[in-house]
Parts: sequence; C-alpha cells; structure tokens
Amino acid sequence: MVDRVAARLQSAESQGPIDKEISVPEPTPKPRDEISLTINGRLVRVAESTTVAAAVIGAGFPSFRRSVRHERRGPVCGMGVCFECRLTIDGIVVPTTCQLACREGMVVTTDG
Amino acid sequence: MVDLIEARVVVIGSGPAGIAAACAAAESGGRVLLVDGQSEPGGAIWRGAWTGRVPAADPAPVWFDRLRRAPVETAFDTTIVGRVGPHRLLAAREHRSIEIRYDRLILATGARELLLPFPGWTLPGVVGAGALQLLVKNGLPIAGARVAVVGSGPLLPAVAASLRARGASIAVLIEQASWRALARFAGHLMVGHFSKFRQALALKRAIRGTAYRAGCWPRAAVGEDRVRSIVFTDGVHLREEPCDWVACGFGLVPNLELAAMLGCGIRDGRLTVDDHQESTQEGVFGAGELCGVGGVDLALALGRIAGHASVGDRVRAERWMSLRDKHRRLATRLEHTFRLRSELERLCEPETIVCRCEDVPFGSLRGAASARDAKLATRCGMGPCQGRICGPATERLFGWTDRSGRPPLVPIRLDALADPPDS
Ligand SMILES: Cc1cc2nc3c(=O)[nH]c(=O)nc-3n(C[C@H](O)[C@H](O)[C@H](O)COP(=O)(O)OP(=O)(O)OC[C@H]3O[C@@H](n4cnc5c(N)ncnc54)[C@H](O)[C@@H]3O)c2cc1C
Ligand code: FES
Repeated sequence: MVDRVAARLQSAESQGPIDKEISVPEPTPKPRDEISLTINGRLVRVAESTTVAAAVIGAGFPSFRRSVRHERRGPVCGMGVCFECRLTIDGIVVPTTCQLACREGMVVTTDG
Repeated sequence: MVDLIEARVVVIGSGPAGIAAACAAAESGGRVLLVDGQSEPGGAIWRGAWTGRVPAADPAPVWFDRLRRAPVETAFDTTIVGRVGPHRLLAAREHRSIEIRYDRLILATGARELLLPFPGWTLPGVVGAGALQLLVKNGLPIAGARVAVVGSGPLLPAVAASLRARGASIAVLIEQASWRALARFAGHLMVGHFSKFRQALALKRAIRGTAYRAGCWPRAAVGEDRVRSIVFTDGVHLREEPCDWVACGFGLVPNLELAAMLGCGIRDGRLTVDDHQESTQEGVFGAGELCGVGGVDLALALGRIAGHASVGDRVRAERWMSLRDKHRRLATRLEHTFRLRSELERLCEPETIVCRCEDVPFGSLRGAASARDAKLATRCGMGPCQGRICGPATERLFGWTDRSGRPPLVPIRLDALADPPDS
C-alpha cells in the first residue's frame, strides 16, 4: 500500500502539482491505555495521551487559577501561548498544562 | 554542556508548510533538520494525526509518509528561544539548551488565533475556537455540551463540524461577515475553485440544523464562575443563547516573533518575501501562514517553493508558482470576505480586561499613546504570554504595533539557560 502511494507520489512529482487526487484510507486510531491521576483529591481515569488541561476540565474543573484581580480563569489558547492553564502538579507550578500529557499517579490541584 | 546540532537547512515549525519545505529541501539535495516545539509533526491542523490519536485528514497521510521516507532529521519538543549569533539559534528542550547552527533557515512558525476582548471573555469556558478543537483532540470530553461558535472566518464552520462529530451540540454559530459577503464568496468559489466549493458544501451539510447567524457579533459572555450564555447582536436586536462553551476566533495572526528577532522585514503583519520565499535577510526563507494567512494548500505550496529555493534549486521551486498564485488569489478573497467590521473595536466596557496576564482593563489603556507607553503605565503585555494574546488585540483596538522580538521568545526555565553556549 505504502509503496503504491510512494510510486504515485513520484509520478505526481514529475508531472507537477496533482497530489490532491491521491487519497489514502484513514488509519483507524490506535486503542488507548488508561492512566489514573488525582485531580483536586479525586481519582480520575483518562485515556493515554490526554493532556492535563483536558483531563482537569473533563473532571469538572473549568476554572484553573485566580488572576491578579482574583478572577477565575481557565484555558484559552490550547496551544501553549496564553499561560491561562497553569496548575500545580505534584507540588510544582506548571505553566502550560495544555501541552503536558497526563502521567500515572500525578497529583493535580487547581487554584481557581 | 550545551548540545549542538548542525544542518545545512534548518526548518523551524513542522506544520504543513514546514513538512513540505523539509521534504522539498531534502529532495533538492540539502541536509535538513526539522525542528518543532511540539512532540510530533502536524502543526495546528494535523495535530494528533501523526501518532494516530485522531484520524488524519487528506492530504496529511501522504505528507507524513513523505516525511518518514525523506532523509530529514527531526528535533521535536524543541522550542527556539533566541539567537546566539549569525547562523546560530538557541533552543530549549526540557531542562537543556541546544545550539542549532544552519547555513539556510526556513521559518514556518505558523499562526495563532486572533482573540478580541469583549465583556465576559475572561470567564472560564470562553476559549479559542481552534483551542477547543485542540482540547477535544487532546482528550476533553465534549459529547452533550452546548457550544456557541463565535467570531469570523472559515475556521468556525470547520470547528463546529468537528465538535458536532464528537457529540457536541452547536448552540449557535455567529459570523460577523454579512450574508452578502458570504454569498459573493460562495459564487466565487463555485466558479473558480470548484473543489473548495464542494468542501464548503460538505461542511454546510455537516453543520446542518445549526443556527447560523451571519452579520452578527458577540456583545457579552455571561456567567458567574463559568460561562452560561452568549449575548449577540446584529446591530439592532440583542439575543441571548445558553451554552456551556463559547469558542471564539476572529481569524489568525502569523507568529512573527522569531522572524522579527532575526531582523527579517515585516509588512502589513506578514513576513516580506521575494518570489522564491526568501526574506529580506539573506539565507532566511519563510513559508506558510507566516507569509499571510491562506490555508493549508497555500502553506504546502509555499513550503515547497521555500524548500527547493533554499538550496538553490530554482527550477523545481518555480514549478509550484502557478499553484501558489491560484491559492493566493483565494486567500485574498477570503481576507476580503471576512474583513473584521469596526463594531468589533467598540465591544469593550471600561472595566473589560484586555491584558489577561496582568488584568489590565480597557479603561486604563485609552490614554496611552503606544504599546510601549501602555507597558510602562499599566504592565499591559508584560505577563507570561508577553503580549501574544493582547498584542494583536491592542493592535486592532488602538493601532499599536510592537515587534520588539526580544529573546527569550517564550518564558523558559532558568536551568535550561544555566549553561549558555560560549559565543
Ligand atoms: C488553533 C488552530 C486550529 C486550526 N484548525 C484548522 C482546521 O481545523 N482546518 C483548517 O483547514 N485549518 C485550520 N487551521 C489553519 C491551519 O493551521 C493553516 O491553514 C495551515 O495549515 C498552517 O500551516 P503552517 O505550516 O503555516 O503553520 P502551523 O500548522 O501553525 O505550524 C507551525 C508550527 O511551528 C511551530 N513553532 C512555532 N514557533 C516555534 C518556535 N519558536 N520553536 C519551535 N517550533 C515553533 C509550532 O509548534 C507549529 O507546530 C488552524 C489554525 C490554528 C491556529
Ligand atoms: S491554554 Fe493557553 S497555554 Fe495552555
């Protein structure tokens, strides 16, 4: 299969821009293992590769921290830019939890 | 000890543009290193598809396969934070700093969402539209939740469709462009870009039944400890729609910080490049959204041109130029169709927060003459995001630009810099 795609790609390359017409079947997503972690004292199980930010909201805590004026805040950009998703993990403040995958046994607390 | 990596061509960013650039440069005989701060290639649009966490949409599988086969070295989880000297960059990977040396550099750092402040936009549950899509790809359960998708641009229906496919209900889709502008654009697609027209129709089907409000814009997000509803207007009437999430995006802004730090020319919010994608700095090329927002097809074409041209293979580079021009024409149309209306500049109340990091309200910024002035007086833009969220907003609200591009580009752990490379 892969070889066929490569061969078509090669011919596409020599003829110029036609690679739009090549279609490859979507790979089925891999089955995922589960990970358990503690969020605000509650044991939570999530699929492997879930980010901490996603797990914390999923556990029912959309408010992550308090701002300078003590307002509640939660994730905004989802891509490590805004720093609104900072949380305390195992006692250490992690600035961008939307970029961090959950690990077995993590202890996460929100400050919001 | 500082690790050192060296390559003839270094590509920063592994979204569609960076992948295409790396493959093209390798095909033209360059030794290529592809660097990204993320843990896998794909950029914003193909996030998660490399590892199979989310299904890969066309043409991602073809490009991933090409990348796997090309003689391209990769360095993921590696964020460029500064410049050490000519042809030398500094990167951070967890606790280590890495020096990266290059002969040719291709910048493909992509774009981020433009978020505009309006009353209530700081409530938990008000997020970027692409951001909510990313959070869901990264494991956030969304089934059963009501989402209001708000803002402008072709990303909104794409996000609505993907959230709906995962079980969310779209409470309302609020697009600030007028029906007339959208109809004119649809007509243009039908005539000039039929495959895009078909894609648009498919999207329309995917969000069938959703309340689609064109010519409307948000006035306030309402809630106590999290968002409960969105209030929007068509300029005459106000309406309120209950929701669990407000996913908003007013278009994309190129990530120009690294380019600015390297001294590359920037005009009208995009990297200045010549016909072969070379910037005003010799040997530094640019590709993708950095050179103007234009979608994945344009990003791929620009990446190919930059990749081939970076190693002097102008013949191959020029083969992609007519395709580039075609996609660029469409990008210009898009820009025109989704041009932001001036009402969006008047949404803030005096107490509406503009700079989220430092909690600076709109009212205290009105007197400032420039971004620098505002920084000194209010700390606007001086928090951890370094103005990445509020900067594009204050540019629109007050006309301020601030491209100082001072390193480090992102706040990094001090221990990563404990051993600076000797200069
Ligand atoms: C949040 C979001 C969601 C989107 N969703 C869709 C969608 O669903 N459908 C659609 O058609 N289009 C979508 N787009 C638009 C799409 O991203 C573009 O059309 C196009 O694909 C961008 O390609 P690119 O390669 O230029 O940039 P990107 O795909 O943005 O890639 C840029 C890469 O550069 C890396 N990078 C940036 N700075 C550094 C640095 N200093 N050091 C190391 N690495 C760095 C980033 O980690 C990123 O991987 C989305 C855009 C955003 C911002
Ligand atoms: S949500 Fe913005 S940095 Fe994590």
